[in-house]
Amino acid sequence: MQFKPEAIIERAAMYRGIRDYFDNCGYLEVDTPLLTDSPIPESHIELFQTRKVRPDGTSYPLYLVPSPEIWLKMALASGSSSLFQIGRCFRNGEQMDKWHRNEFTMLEWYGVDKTSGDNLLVMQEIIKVTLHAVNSEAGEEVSGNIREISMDEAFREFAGFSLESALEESGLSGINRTSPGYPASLADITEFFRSRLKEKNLPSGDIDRESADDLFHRLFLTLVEDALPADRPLALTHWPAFIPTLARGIPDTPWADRWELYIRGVEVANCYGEETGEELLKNYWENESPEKPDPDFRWPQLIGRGMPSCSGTAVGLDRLLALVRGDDSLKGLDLFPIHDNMPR
Amino acid sequence: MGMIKAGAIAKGTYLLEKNEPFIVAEREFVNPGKGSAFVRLKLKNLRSAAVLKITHKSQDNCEEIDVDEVECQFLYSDGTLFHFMDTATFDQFEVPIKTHENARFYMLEGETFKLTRWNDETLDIRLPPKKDLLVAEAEEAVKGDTVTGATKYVITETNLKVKVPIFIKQGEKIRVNVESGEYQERIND
Repeated sequence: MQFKPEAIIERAAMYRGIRDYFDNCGYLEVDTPLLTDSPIPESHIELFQTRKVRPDGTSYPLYLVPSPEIWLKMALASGSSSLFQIGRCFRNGEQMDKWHRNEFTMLEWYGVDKTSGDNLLVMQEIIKVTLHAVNSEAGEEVSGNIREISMDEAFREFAGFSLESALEESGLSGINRTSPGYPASLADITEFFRSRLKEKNLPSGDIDRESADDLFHRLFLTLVEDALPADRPLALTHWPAFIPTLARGIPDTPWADRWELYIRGVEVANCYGEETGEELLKNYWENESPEKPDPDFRWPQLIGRGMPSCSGTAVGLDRLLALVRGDDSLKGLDLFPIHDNMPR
Repeated sequence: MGMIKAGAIAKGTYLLEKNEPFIVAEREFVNPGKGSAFVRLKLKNLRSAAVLKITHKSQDNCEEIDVDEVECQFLYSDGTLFHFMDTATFDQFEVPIKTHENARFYMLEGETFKLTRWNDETLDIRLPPKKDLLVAEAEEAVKGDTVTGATKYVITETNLKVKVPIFIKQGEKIRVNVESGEYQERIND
């Protein structure tokens, strides 16, 4: 058996600590389905599909959820107060390696009338709770105060140019995904990213045909992400709003209200100031849906008509536990994991 | 020359990037929050030994080098070049030491190794994960020094300096981890 017995005990203590923390803050713990017939459309997530068999032998597809997001937002739109869930999530297509599993545990919470800044303070508390649950001494890189760096600062420092100026000059200030011709308005920034990649002579694939967000990620992953300081937990804030997400746009800027948290250089959590406009949600669904199975276009309406102003955060608890323990991978933290290369 | 999807690249794959041969030293799968899957690679240039960090989209096509595995006898080293002989064809050829620094500590004259060859170039000398080496020089243990875990340095027959437990003596054989250069155990033949 490959698991680390002390980590199994620490995981239980971490869950207890998180539940106590949210309970004290007045958050409701909810439990939502793992099986769904209409998953959230996210073009970059591969789903696990299964089939529901009716008594007469006919069947239809069901999917394992990649996150509880859609359910928690439905609950909020139906009038729930702030809420959280600790649950399993499933992502197909990913290679299992040091920091990836096809099945993992996510903490997701939504604070009603809270901002992404408020949620960063909650995140600091969740790290503290985890430190308390773990029996090893962690250094500043884990226990230190979260440092905030904006995407623009990171690009200026590590890629040598201002992303904000580039986005503004490409006409992407205050972009609105409901605007007519939204994808076409990405032509300038696409060309800008392409020429930066060529200028830096970065080895690359077919960049002449790639989308703006793929080109952005090439630059970000090659020049910026690896270079981010790891001496303290780091929240990378203000992501380009042209990347399709459910984060709200910050008015009159090219930025989305979004942060991603890194601990020891590993991405652990992400947070949005949530988009609540029905039209924008509908637009997201339509843009992300073409290649996805069975998108249900009632969702934007159901969510958009009652969703309160809020901020939501998702944390990979397996990664958080491993990083706080000082481990260099997720190995040994799970009971009975499957492996890509498990003999049959 | 074959094409390989970046997502299928594994540690140890031989790649051609910008016309230079590389071996993949590390491979990490990265899935940015809301974006395509990428693979971050740490590559070692097999000519200059320089390290290159690159990121590919999982769907990118990369050039995989079709290498030959050739069994060769290590003849000798002249300080700049290793001299090898292909055991099947008896052809002799040289490999610059500077591109395979580490190998000189783990090859004894007359031993046979698998070499990875591409055209007329040796890309890699495949060393075993562990190697047993004779201790050529060792300090005498200080009498009365019985602290457990006490260590000292010895020099092996291949001129490798290894940190070993205090009880290891000159003329004994020790097992060394080839990647880390660390002592593993004493071998009693």
